[in-house]
Amino acid sequence: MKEELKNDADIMLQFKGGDKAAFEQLFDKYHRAIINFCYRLLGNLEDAEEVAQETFLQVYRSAEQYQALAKFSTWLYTIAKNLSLNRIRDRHSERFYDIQSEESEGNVLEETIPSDTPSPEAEFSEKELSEIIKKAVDKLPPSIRIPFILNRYQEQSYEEIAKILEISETAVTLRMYRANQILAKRLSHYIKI
Amino acid sequence: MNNDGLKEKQEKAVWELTGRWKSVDPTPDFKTRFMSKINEPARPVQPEQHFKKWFSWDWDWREIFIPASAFAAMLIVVGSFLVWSPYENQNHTVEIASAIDLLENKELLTDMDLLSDLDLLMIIDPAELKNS
Repeated sequence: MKEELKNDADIMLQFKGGDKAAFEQLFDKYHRAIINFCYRLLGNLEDAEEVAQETFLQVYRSAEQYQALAKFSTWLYTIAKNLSLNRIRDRHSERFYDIQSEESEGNVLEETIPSDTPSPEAEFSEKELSEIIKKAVDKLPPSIRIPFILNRYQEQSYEEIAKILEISETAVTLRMYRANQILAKRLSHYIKI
Repeated sequence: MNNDGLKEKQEKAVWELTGRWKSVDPTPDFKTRFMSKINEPARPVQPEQHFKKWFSWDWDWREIFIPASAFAAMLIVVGSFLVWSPYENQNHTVEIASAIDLLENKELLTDMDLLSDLDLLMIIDPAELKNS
């Protein structure tokens, strides 16, 4: 971890010093991860790429103010998280009445994703399974969905997630526990225990 | 099978299943589009546009109604809480907190921004919280 901090932060400091190739190095290293993080939060590739581009644009334009106070990836994910949440809020303000009617239908968090197949052992294509899991994760509230995605798919430690979300590690533990509970219930038909 | 064993199996099963949500590939021209964007000059902020927005008469009524209603509802809820049952609620919270030794974990108290975490804390083994 310390080696990564030295490498990425050093590269960013090189970019700050005027080396544009250094920025491209960081972009090539992280753009796929950031796009996928945004995709899992926002649900579609078009929005994900837009937000990912805004993220790197902010990094590019904030080079002058950059200080290596934390891991570069922590800073990058923090920007991506904030921009993604802004995009979610913008969507919600446009869909205000749609959300109100969704929430009035009962406890949205606890519903099980319906399945057309009778048996958990039934074969699913990878695409179908991805879609089922995507729906289940999408229904998690952002405060739980974000740490879950950061840990499960972006391989961030609880310590790093706590810094990205500006909460304690214990709060991250709680949210991961809750995510696990909700997903276990929502995906109970597809889980083999 | 005891509860702990079942819980661990469930966590592992969820972990394995959710791992099957595959990542996506960026569009082929993602980098090209981004590189052309960074070569564009940054658009200067037009401060007078912000003033125009605030003093214009063409507000979308939902922009005012939604935050105003939310704020009013929050005031009513907080006011009711403070006026009618402060002692009872405080007791209940302290009861839960004491039962799971929470008062000694002050950091957690400051980070409980989800009220629903209270019911979750009743389920979690306190030893797990101390070890995390």
